Parts: sequence; C-alpha cells; structure tokens
Amino acid sequence: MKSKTLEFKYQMEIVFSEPIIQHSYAVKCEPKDTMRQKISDLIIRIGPSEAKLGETDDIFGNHIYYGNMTEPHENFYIEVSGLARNSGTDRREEKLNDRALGFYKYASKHTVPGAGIKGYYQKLIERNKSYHTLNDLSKGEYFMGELYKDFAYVSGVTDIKTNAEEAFQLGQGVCQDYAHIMISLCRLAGIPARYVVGFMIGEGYSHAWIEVASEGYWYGLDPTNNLYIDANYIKVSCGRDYADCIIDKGSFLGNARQQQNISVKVAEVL
Amino acid sequence: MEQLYKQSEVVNDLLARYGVKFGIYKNGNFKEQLFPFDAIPRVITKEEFNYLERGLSQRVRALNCFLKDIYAEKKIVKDGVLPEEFLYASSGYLAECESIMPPKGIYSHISGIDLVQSKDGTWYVLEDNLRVPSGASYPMIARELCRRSSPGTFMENKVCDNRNYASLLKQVMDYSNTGGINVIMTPGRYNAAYFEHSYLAEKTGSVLVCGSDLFVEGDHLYYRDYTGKKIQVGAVYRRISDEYLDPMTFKEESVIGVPNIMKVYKKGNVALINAPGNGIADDKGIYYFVPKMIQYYLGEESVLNNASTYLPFYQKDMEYVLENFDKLVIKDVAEAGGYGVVFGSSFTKEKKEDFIELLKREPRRFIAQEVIDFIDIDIMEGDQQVPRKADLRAFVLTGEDTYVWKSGLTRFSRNPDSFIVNSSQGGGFKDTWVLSQ
Repeated sequence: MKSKTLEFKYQMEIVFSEPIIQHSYAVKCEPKDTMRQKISDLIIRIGPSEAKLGETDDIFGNHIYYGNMTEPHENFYIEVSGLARNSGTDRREEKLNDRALGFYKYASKHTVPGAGIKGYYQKLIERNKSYHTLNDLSKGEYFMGELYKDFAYVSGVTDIKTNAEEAFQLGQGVCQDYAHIMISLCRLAGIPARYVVGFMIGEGYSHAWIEVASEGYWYGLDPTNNLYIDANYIKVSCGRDYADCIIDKGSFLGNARQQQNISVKVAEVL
Repeated sequence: MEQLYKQSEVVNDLLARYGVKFGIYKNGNFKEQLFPFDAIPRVITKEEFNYLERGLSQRVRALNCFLKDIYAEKKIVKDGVLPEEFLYASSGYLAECESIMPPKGIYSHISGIDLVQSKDGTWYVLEDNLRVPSGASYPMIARELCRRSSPGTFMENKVCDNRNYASLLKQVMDYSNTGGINVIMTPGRYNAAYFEHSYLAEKTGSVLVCGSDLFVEGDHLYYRDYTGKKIQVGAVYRRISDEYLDPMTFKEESVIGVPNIMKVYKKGNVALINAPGNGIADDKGIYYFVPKMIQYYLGEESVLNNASTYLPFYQKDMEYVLENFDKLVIKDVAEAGGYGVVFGSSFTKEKKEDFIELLKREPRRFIAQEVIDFIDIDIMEGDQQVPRKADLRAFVLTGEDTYVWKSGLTRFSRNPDSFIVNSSQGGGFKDTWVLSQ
C-alpha cells in the first residue's frame, strides 16, 4: 500500500433543550504521532468559548483537555481537524514500553472473559494446528479472521455499557464489541492488547479497533473489517478498554434533554 | 465497673438520642438501625498495647511504602516478591493513580486494622482497611457518654483517654493540607456512616460537605459556602469510595463526586485522605504478602501475625486447600463487609463440588485461611453476662509520624453461633480500654 496524506475533521456537538450550568468535562480527542502516522496542522476547538481549559495526560499516553463552565449555556462542541501523513508500509504504531505493559495483559472491566469467550478461545486454539508456531501478531490476526466470520455487525443490539462476554453471547454488535472480544481473546492467550479509538477514511462516526504487542512493537488490527491498520486509519487514543478512551466525559446541572451530533470526515489529499 | 454495666441502657438511650446509627441496605432498601452498645469494655493492658502498637505501626509503615512503590517503580514486582498478576488483576489497583505522588508522600492516613486474639492469647491480623475505614467515632462517643453516666468507673480504673482521636485526625489533615481549609466529604445522610462523618467534622473543626459543594477551577479545588463565597480547599477527608470520587476520571454516572478533582490532586494542589488507589493494599489477596512487604521494605520481621493463609494461585497451596477444605475458611477477595466468607465445613457435598470447580477455575479470586478460635468477650444480655465472639479494629494515623490510637472499635457478634462481627451484619460494639499503667 502507498503512503497517504489524510485530511480529517471530527465534529461533535451537544445541544441542550434548555440552559445548563456547572458543566464539567474531560476530553480525549488529540491524535498523536506514532511510527505509522504523523499529525500536522492540528486545530482543536472546545466550546462555547468561555470553557476554562486545563490540560493533563493520562497514564495510557492520551492528552486530556478539561474544564468547567459555570454560566448557563445551551450547547457544547468539540472540533478536531488536521492532516495525517500515514505510512503505507510501516505498520508499527509504537515501541513497547515495559513499564506500561502490565495494564494490557489482564482482563479489564469490559473485557473479563466469561464461559462463552473462554470456550471460544479453546476452540480456536484447538482448531488451528499451527497455532503454537505463530508469533503474537499472527495469533492476533488469526483471532481476528475467525471473529470476523463468527460475529455479525449489527448496530443497535448493544450499547456502550455492553461488555465483551455479553456481546459474545449475543453474537452481534458494533466495532466496540468486536474490539472488546478481541482484547479478551488476546489477553487469554497471554498477548498484551489494547483498545484504540480513531477515525477511518470516509465519512461517518469514530471507530474502534485494537493493538497487540508483538516482537517489541504495538500493531493495529481492525476486527470489525478484518484488516491490518494501515494508511487509511487515524489513531486518536488508546487504553485498556472503552472506558479509558471515552472522547467526551461530562456532567452538568440542569433538567435538559441532550441531542448529540457527531460527524467525522476523513479524505485523502491528492 | 458494676456501676458502668448498670448504665448500659442509659448509654444506649443517649446514643440513640445523639443519632449514633448505622445504615444498612438490604435488598435495595435503606434501613437505619441503632448500633447496639455493650458497656463491658475490652481491656488491653499497657504491655499488650505496647506490643500491638509496635506491630501496627510497623505494618502501616510497610503498607505505605508498598503503595508508594506500586504506583511508581513497582520494585516489589520486579524483584519477584509479588507476582505481577496480583497487581494488575486486582480490582483495587487503579491505573488512574499511576505516577501520582500524594502530598507528603502519604497514601494511608487513616488505617483500620482488624485483629482477633486467639484463645492462647496470640493476636492475629485478619484484614487491613486502607480505603475509608469507619468506626472510630463509636468508641469516641461511647467513652464520652460512659464517663458522663458513670464517672466513678474512670476514677477507679486507669484508662488512657481516647477522646484525642479528633485532634490526631486534625493533625493528619493539617500536615497533608496543601493550602486551604479541611473538609470532610460525605456521600450524604443515607450513607451507612453518616453519623461518623458529621461527628468527626464537628470534632475536627472541618467543614462537612457533599460533592456538589466543591468545584474545580483552574488547578485548584474550592468550596462554595452558604453565602456564595468561594474558599480554597487544601485537604479532603473523603468518605466516599474511589470509583465515585471523580466522574471525569472514574464512574461517569457518579453524582456524589467532584468532577476533575483528580486533576487537581495530580498537580499536588489538594490532599485526598486516604489516597485513591489504596484498595490495592487491602485486597484480601495482597494480605498474604504483607509480612513479606515488611521484610522487603523495612528489613524487619513482622511483629504481628497474619492468620495462616493459603493462595490457591500457588499449586502447592491449592493442594493443601483441597486436602484440608473442611477445616478452612474461604474468602472471596473481591468482597468486603463480611460478605463472601464461607467455612469449608458448611458446604453440602454438592455445593462443595461446585465450589471446588469454581476455585479451580478462578484460583486468584480466593484465599483460604485456618480458622482461628478467637476469644469470647462477655456481653450483657439482660442481667446476665454471656460470652460472644469479638474482634478489634485498631486505628493507625499517619501524618508526620505514625501513631496508633490508644483505643479501637471492638465489634461483637450478637448471635452466639456466629464468628462474623461486622456491623453491616447486625453486630454490636464495645469501647476498647487501653490501660495507662
């Protein structure tokens, strides 16, 4: 695959049905350079403009913007835009950091395997005669291919709180569920795995996939599409599971209904 | 003493009037009940207390070293003393607390260490509680009321005054305070220990607040008082659990926390008492390693004994547990408050087989311990003195120094056949006297 320059724009707006106050938020929306992607021309706008900003980093390497708006306001928005120059040949995202590896080896809240996933894992490793000769990335690729066949993409049957085992039992779900089940399988196999939020070329919503640790580096796999992460993807954040990568966390006072609109546009710059 | 026993009813009436209650949730319903007080104190001699004091202070110093290490370098894991899995797979470990150095480097400011004394006189530590241990207020107020209703008793007996708890607590808060007022943060009046929150706030001169009274602005934490004035907060003795503390860091749906308080804490601009993430050190699975920690961090032998504990995680221990199943007590490491504790002998044959299956499937989830036949202490039942099982929660406070409070909460089981003394399971309490000579 050839290298690509992608122009991206993420827009999220929440419109409240009546003014709210005491609105606190923490936003993880900043894509960073990896070995595969180089970010430039980055513009992040969080508003309304009176939002008081503070910045910090979490332990998973994500940058956080946080603040609170005490005065009444009726909307909240995040806009992230920029360019990503993505390698078409280097699939490595990042060198492994031994210190942080422990986070990704053991089941996290959303990825605890139950009887279903454990049984499935057993079946998978028994089915593939050469399984034990594979390196960790190839094992991940193997799990991805099988899961892609056995799990169906259906939106609306799961929600953000659905964990890996629940989704597995349903046999259906969305990118978040694919990623959680994949993580659960990899960790059962002793392969450190982490959850990634990002964008994919085209128009739509944000996407989720995973990374596995193999031979000293993190590599991305997209089980929803049965693809290696390549020049068509922009990584935004990562963590143990969904809960570490929520783009916008917020709380406010007010008896308002919320209408959230999200749009993601990623196009190749030719 | 006789005079004091006769006052039992009077003291209980006073406790009820002061609202010394304990709330419990059963099947989703909140019920507030009195915490029954028994006037016969547990008496600890001066020599015995000196021994306990040495052991408790040593234990808490080691646990503080452990917490400091585990959220930074993790030397204890690298050196192979603690298996990595016990750290990362524990629900008490919070990655969100990695690399945060709390003010003055203190993690466990208030530690509640649960002990029992076996019939041969040996003390055993059963549990370390380093998150938000409750209970100190009960012997405090009981002592106050006993002194009032039976002053003669305290003239005849040389008992160390325990009413200094509030000033010790205040010293701890002041020492860690980063600039601003001290507050005690409660989830609200429907919390099991609300009496304690309000009592300690009053006695330490702290402001009793709910999460919604506090807010983050810039890099600091503020309290808004009833006039609307904003006042900087330097220390929060928070009586809510970690997961509800900050909806922007932990459970987003929490409405009793303070959004972004963790960011202020991370910048070193407020002390959280106790530090978030302490749950890793009082995990029942980690308990097994505490004597090893004392050796590892302090280079000392543990003064106090752990109950003999087996980790089915280790093959050798698993074999022992399976062979001796009927004489052991099995504890689920994820549970607290006396829940998830079962005696091997109490299983029917079928249930036992099911349980052993579970144990083999999830060995890290359980620990097994030898049953300690701990001493009975008399309680009054009507006019009669009858023996009941009792434990002791000792309170260890860490500020500039580590100090063991010369008292403690003695809890007893009201049921003559039960070993479980937790107040959430209907137990009662006694004052704990430490003799001064």
